[in-house]
Amino acid sequence: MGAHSERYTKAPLWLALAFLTAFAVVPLAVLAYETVAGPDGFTLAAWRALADDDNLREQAMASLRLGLVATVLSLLLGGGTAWLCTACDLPGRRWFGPLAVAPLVVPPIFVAMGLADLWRDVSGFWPCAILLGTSHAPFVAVLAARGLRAVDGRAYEAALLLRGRAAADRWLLRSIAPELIAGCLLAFLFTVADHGVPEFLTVKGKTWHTYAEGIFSRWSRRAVGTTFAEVQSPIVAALPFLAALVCLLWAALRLRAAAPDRGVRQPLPVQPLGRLRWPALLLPVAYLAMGIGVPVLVLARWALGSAQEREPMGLDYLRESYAKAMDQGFAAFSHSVWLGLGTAAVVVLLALPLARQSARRWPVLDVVAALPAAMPAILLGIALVRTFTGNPVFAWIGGGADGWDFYSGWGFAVCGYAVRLLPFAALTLASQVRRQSLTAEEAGRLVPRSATHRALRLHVAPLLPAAWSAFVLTFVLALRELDLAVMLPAANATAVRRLANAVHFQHEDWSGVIALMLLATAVLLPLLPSLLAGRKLSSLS
Amino acid sequence: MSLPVAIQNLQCTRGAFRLGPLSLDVAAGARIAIVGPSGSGKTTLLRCLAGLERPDHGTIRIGDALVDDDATHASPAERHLGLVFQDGGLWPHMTALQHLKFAAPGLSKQAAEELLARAGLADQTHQRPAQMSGGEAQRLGLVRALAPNPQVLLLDEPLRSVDVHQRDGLVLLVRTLCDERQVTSILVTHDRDEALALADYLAVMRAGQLVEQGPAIELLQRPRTAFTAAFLRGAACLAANRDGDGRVRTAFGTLAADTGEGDGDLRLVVFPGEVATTDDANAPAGRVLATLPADGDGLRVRVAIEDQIVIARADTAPTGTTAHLCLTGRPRLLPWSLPR
Amino acid sequence: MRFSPPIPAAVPFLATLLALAACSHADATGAGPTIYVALDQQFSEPVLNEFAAELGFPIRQQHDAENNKTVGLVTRILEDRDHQRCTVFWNNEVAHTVNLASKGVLVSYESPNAKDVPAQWRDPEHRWTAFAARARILVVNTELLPDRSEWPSSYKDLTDPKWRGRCAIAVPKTGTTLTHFTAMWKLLGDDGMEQWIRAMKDNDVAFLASNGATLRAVRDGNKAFAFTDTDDFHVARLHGFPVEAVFPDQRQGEIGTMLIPNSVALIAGGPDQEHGKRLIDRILARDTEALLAAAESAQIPLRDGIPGPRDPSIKKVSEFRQMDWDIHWTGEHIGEFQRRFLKQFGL
Repeated sequence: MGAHSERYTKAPLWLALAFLTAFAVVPLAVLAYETVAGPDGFTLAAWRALADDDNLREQAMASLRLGLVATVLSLLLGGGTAWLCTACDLPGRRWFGPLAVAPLVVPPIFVAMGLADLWRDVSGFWPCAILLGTSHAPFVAVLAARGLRAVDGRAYEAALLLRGRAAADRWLLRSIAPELIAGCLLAFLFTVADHGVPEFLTVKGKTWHTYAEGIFSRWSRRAVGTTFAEVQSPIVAALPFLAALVCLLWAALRLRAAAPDRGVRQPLPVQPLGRLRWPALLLPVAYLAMGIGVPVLVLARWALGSAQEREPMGLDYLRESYAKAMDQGFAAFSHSVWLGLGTAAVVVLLALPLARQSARRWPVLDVVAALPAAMPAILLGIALVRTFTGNPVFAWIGGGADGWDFYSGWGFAVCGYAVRLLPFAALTLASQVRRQSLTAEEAGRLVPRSATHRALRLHVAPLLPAAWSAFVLTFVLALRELDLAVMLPAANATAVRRLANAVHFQHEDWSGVIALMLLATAVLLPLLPSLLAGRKLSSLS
Repeated sequence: MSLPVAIQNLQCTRGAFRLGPLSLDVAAGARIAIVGPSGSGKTTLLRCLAGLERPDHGTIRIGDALVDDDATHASPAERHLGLVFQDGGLWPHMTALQHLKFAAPGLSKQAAEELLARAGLADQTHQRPAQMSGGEAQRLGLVRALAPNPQVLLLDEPLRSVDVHQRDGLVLLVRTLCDERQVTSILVTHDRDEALALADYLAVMRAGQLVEQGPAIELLQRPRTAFTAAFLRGAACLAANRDGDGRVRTAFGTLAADTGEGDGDLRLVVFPGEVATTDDANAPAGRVLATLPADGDGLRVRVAIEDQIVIARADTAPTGTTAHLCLTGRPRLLPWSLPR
Repeated sequence: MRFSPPIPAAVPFLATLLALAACSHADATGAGPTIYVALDQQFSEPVLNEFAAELGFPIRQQHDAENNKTVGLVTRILEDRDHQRCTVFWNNEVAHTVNLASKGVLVSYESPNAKDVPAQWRDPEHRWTAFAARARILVVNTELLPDRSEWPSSYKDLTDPKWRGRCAIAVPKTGTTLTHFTAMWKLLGDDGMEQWIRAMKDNDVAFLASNGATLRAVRDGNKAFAFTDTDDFHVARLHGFPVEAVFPDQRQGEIGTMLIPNSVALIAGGPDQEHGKRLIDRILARDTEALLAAAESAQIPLRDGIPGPRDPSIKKVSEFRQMDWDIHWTGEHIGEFQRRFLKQFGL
């Protein structure tokens, strides 16, 4: 019974490892190799070029500054909202708590479009930092809320009795520090990796560019005959940057995973805000207004005809926008949804065996799985393109025009998206596996069932709620992915990419309709369990 | 008929800890408890038996089957054992009925419900572990282990997570079900009461070795090692040394040459109540830790002497921080543990 | 929780892999040409769908992304050089097509429908043909500048202190702006180019991400005028915004207005070359230019006798003085331009 059956249960793990190798490790290795493989053989020209490139240094510094400022803002908005909703008597906290995650469903480029529409001269460093800080605040909000819910209220009360309020609050802060740090690191990573928003919010005189912009700009020049060193030097610089990001991400996710499941018997006592109770509402309201209110309002106004002066705004124009949207953008919308669903399915299927293996045997898998998330999506896209088209060893997988053409198809886009978003699912599920009882699994080993049956019933079944969360998170992040959509051929047809184009060509009317449909879809999926099975809304966060 | 469980020269190394080599035979229908302090290797032994750990050397037979030797390692499922875990090891997403159905594929729904009813879980048939009390969860763990009709049942400190007032019911259930099904049970625990409640035969372990084994009554009354006396009966074991003349030097003075057996370093075993306070200023002194409530025989005092704590009888409560002690029972000298 | 059938856990994984593999474009061979299109999808997609129906073979379309424009498609064509996926390249400008020609990626094909295209817009070796153009114009906000006599009239106005902080142009990293700047480099020379860029920076010209962004800045009243293309201008007009087009540098001695046409080329090694040639013929038909002139993008026909855009602000070829720019030199030097000048824009 044993060995034959065991082979089947190991197959998913080997498949997942093969996938990770093919779509993360190998592309990165190819990228690294190409920095020294010049047209005439081995060269360190790209590495030398880096030393003379002031622009790249400035771009890296700009990314760093942007990341830090946006992260501080994410901490204030996300952490503050989580604290007010979880530990204080904020009016309406039952609603604001779950809503804190809502800005995650709005692609940052939509927020940028919304802000640019309302405040027309919006540009430069600070709007960019505020916007990205708001867009990524849900990471902090969700993790901080989780941390606060995991603190035992009795322990807090004990600290309160012994040392007073200030000391108890310091203790509380220390208790939730792993979650706060993890959330901040995620916000930082997403900010520095973002290419679309800084590029959209251009500045007067273009006095600064981010690192992701620099990489993409150099990559674009490749087509028109630039030098090897010029194309490769940002990638050279990206490698240590990437290594640092991998460490940060790994630390973030491990910190989050390592935060013990404290088996809380009693939630934190709700602190009265006193006279500040109503004024405190300003923080979550401002956060949600920025993160979701403004973009939705602007998109709705676009659909109603605000971005033209030919006809009055209104429902008549909305009908026209809708008709145009169905004609011009519905294909892109459905493409996005299918791509999102495909990605989420692949990610969950791959994450399950990886999570089990990393939680039970090879913790180093966490690092490997974190690799693609730490790469700016633009760099990951370049790596995938170079590996599956340009590389003589691996290009056969991508295929060509004659027959097999995996590279141009939906499947390749799904794989590209999946490898980018796999870390979140794999690490979330791994932390869930770590929380599961080892003895319950050992009890299963005594049962006279096939290994496959045991794996499905005892290992996979308890993970289904977490797997569903991972599925939803992946789907939402896939819907809003813009940078990879620019790089991968089949992903070029996604709604977010199409809308970025359409808005450029002043087609805000139908873009607004499609964007709202996209947001509604992203919101609907996580709400399904609440609607169908009556799960509490708070389970969303 | 072969022995249900036969262990020969078992060795298993995990990090710095080494179990064995040890041998143990368990008779059919026996109820044996493997007892010892934490880290003595009893759980590792149990896991080796269950197939959850692979021994480095030695053989394990369960019934007629050789399940472990240098070339063989049968999977846990192939050993046809039942195992009751300390924390239940229940599957959080399954109901009680699903636990039994999954654990015993051939078990009919009716049989599963009857078994649950026997365990007093008729009302919990469709409940998940999170909805049960500690005692109910442990009873479910027990019937899950027994559902496939194993010939050997392994129990890993099954009473540990159960409320005191639910223990008797669970003990009765274990004994009844094992008797009815003629199951050989092997319990590991560090709790003497648990061992005595669930087993008739004891095997004492220390530092990966079997110190001694025998019927429970015999080990309690006549322990052959000071370690067993200390572990099973809470005896204080004070340093003792037999010199060349055969006399034995102890904290209570020199004992006669005909006292006890063994040479060299020995232990003077003092059971609770076999020492009393005295006014004799030449008697050995100990530090008074606490005066305990009086029982039917009078006052008791907890006194530290050497690195041991003894319970001494006292006529009056001691007034100072020290008390002089004298032996009132027959002095026993035992080796700390049996030589390997 | 119900019992699951004891299927091997690998099955869903294998099924997923098979599904992913099945979603490869296995139908590429003989199933029609693949066209890479840099012209906006909204304009080009319906036109190409119509062509497919008319020609009787499927046309697989790959559209560009606005933020890397033509460059993304050109990069892809070059990356795929050894296993080419693209049959026909419809570029919405011409310099990158010339650049591809210089790299040996294009195949000569003399389309019968290209014969009446003016010689300046055809490659002597027939590797590419231009058609339907956009003009590089100054778009003016008529509410901010109601007096026509005050309007800017030359590229030099961007450096005029009178307009300090009130005008915009895109960063010359991609698209028509890159072509424009590279052509200007040839005209102005090294020093002249350096001076022009420095003067624009000194004059607080806003260097924005794209022509769309510059148009938007003017349309929304943030800037008085900006360089953009006629198609962007025309959409803003259709939407009722107060903007007007100025064809710059029309006075005697001035350099003229730059016209940047679409171009089409057959890619070496791309699938289904025969259908690709028929597609090129169809794209170069006169009615395509008419169609593009009448469409929202309001492209300017290069050939005589084809009706131009309806909007009178967008002039016909014969109605304005064109800038005389060296297509071949520009195409071959866009990379060099980026290397030398983009650093001044922080890239």
